[in-house]
Amino acid sequence: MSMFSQNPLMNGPNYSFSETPRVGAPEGAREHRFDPYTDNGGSTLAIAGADFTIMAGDTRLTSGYSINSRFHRKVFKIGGTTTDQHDAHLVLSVVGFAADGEALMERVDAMCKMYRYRHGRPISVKACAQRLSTILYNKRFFPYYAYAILGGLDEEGKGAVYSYDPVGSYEREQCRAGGAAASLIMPFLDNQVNFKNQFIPGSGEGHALQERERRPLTRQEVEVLVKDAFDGAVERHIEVGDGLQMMVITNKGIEEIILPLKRD
Amino acid sequence: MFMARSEYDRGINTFSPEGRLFQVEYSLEAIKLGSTAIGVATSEGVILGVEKRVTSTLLETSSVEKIVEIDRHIGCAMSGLQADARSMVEHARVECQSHAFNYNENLRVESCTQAICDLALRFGESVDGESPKMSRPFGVALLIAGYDEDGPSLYHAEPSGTFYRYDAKAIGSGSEGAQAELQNEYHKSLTIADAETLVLKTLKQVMEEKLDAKNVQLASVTKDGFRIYTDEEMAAAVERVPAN
Amino acid sequence: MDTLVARYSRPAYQQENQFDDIEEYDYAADSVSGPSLKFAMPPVAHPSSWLRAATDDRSNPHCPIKIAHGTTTLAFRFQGGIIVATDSRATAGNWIASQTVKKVIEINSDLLGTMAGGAADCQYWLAWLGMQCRLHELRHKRRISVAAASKILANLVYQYKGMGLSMGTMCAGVTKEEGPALYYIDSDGTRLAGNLFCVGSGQTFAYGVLDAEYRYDLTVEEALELGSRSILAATHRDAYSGGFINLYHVKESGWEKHGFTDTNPVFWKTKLEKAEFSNVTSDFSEEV
Repeated sequence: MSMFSQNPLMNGPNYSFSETPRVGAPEGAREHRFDPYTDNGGSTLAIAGADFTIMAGDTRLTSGYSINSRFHRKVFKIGGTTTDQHDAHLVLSVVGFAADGEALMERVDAMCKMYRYRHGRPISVKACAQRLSTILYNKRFFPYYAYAILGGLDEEGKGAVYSYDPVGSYEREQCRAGGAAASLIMPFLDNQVNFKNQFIPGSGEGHALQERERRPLTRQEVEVLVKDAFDGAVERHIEVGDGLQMMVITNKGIEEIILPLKRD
Repeated sequence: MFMARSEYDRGINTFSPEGRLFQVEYSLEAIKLGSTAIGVATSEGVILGVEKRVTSTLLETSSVEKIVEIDRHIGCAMSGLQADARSMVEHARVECQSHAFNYNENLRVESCTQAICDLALRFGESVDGESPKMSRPFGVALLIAGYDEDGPSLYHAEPSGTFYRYDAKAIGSGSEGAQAELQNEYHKSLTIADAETLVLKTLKQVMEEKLDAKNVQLASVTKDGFRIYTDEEMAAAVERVPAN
Repeated sequence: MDTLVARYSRPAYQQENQFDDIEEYDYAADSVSGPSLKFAMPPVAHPSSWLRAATDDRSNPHCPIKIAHGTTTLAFRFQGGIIVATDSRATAGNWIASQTVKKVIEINSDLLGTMAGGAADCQYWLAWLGMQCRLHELRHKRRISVAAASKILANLVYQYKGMGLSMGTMCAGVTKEEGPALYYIDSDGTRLAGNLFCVGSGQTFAYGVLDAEYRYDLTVEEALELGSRSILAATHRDAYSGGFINLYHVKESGWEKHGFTDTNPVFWKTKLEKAEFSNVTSDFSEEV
């Protein structure tokens, strides 16, 4: 499976690719190093509920070991009719290289607006998810260095989260963490959202243990989970911190919540 | 009158002083030479019907194709130069498929009609490096029937690139008489079976030949998709047409 | 290449049709090569070597994009049609990016494709193949043969040979003319017809089980069990494979899904009921 590395813990720090080696250049070729990417760190998170979706991201922007901004958004409303996106119904989060992520966000937003003009209605999250995949794949040979997660409500009003790799492979999921602290947050979500490896106490021995039954989480529970996940990530990852930006998508619209995180 | 016209109908993209594009207007005339095609929309679906104009007993009637599938949920009937329709249909099919590929959903019927009409005005001199254009306007009109999330709908697309949505529409040589008949007979509560009969009855009135199961063709678009009627279904439908 | 460089040596705002090419495709001009021939290219003289430096962890262990080769997929022909089975793990280096990847791609209601290599490459091009198959059906008023469909895909990837696509896929379908038909296609341009294929890092383990038990006259039940058991073997010995067993049966009337089953309970069931995997014991010190 082609995936950008999301695991700085195991693969060593990959803050930026200053070490991009020149491979396969012909003998004597004078090719100046082409480093179009920087890793701006940070982390994103999305959880789908029964009738809502929460998308979140921290607001720190780093480059190497420097913190360049303490309030830079990674989570964007898209698909509205105006620039203030007051009537938007979709949310896109991007993490990786901020410039690529924002270029991608603008492109998807423009696409959503074009869709509305051409077909006379707002784009569905399912349609936008597929289009985002082809937009990413159109840069297969010069990828956007961005991990995108798209959130919204599906045709039945249920929460929908679609997660992407940088070249457009995607999957609808219940929850997904992306970016620098993905490897810290994802195991927590597996356990707390999908109840992975939770069993009913006393229901059996060894493999006969019964799994804890899954149930949809409430909005309040998910908001707490998101905050806990980021508090944990801030504690153990240098690229995550400062602020937490949360977008709550319900059938009443999108609510943005900004909470503080530790700033050290 | 004729003299004045001939000045301005050579260049296909030249307006006359009165503001007319004669070649486009002529292309509308070409449709009036075509066989009659009728579409009737009901709340359950749309019925398309065409006369086949079997000009010889040696002609294999199944090879006369005037109703075609664009996608599972859209079909169209044509009148005019059939060869022109082929490239419009091909364009519409690719447009439907690329929409499905890019958006994982069916193309809406109105958007499909719009896509066909976008092609209609792509005539004139080609520029180097651009995709080649038609040298003249299309000589065919289409009745586009489809079923999408808003239910059934019927559109009429002309070579001029304009399109309108209709409850019932007739095109081709018998269109004037047929449209008057539809105007009288159409009502909102028609069933699919009523629409089949209405289409056949109207065709019968404007056709030169005597209507039978071989020289007309019906198709329907319902929530189950587009379907061309089989020979047996055609025979049964023709059977139901009141004799008078 | 010079023209390419020239095109991108202008600042971005001067490049023409910046916005247009997002939404405008010239499908009609060349519908077989499709929408996607307008791929953005990096502004360097050798895009593919740049891409390799950025994505191939074999030639560059510190590359930002890691293409992991971890996967097990298999498909085999038998009297009752074709069985297609895969695991569901996606890895990037050692990181398990997902345990729930759908590696069987439903090209349409008759044809299945499998996914090994780049997930996006497989997803995109098999969906594209689905579009081509549908157009073939509309133009020719009959279903496309599996041979033709696989050839369309093989020709396409061959056009991109050397540019960095990574896919090893199998196309499976049953048609009246061909019977059960199975083709293997990879991004080098290889296209092979055959009775059985296993693809991915766990392929050897799957072949071990599959080759031992395979017969053409397997019953449907036996065939489904064999497909599932072969994937189980691979998830047991190949660290890059795991998650769920995704099982399909392709017949002339179309394909049928036979579950997306967690490997862990299947493993224990197999061990306890059939006394297989006897190397695994509850006492780890005795384990081999």
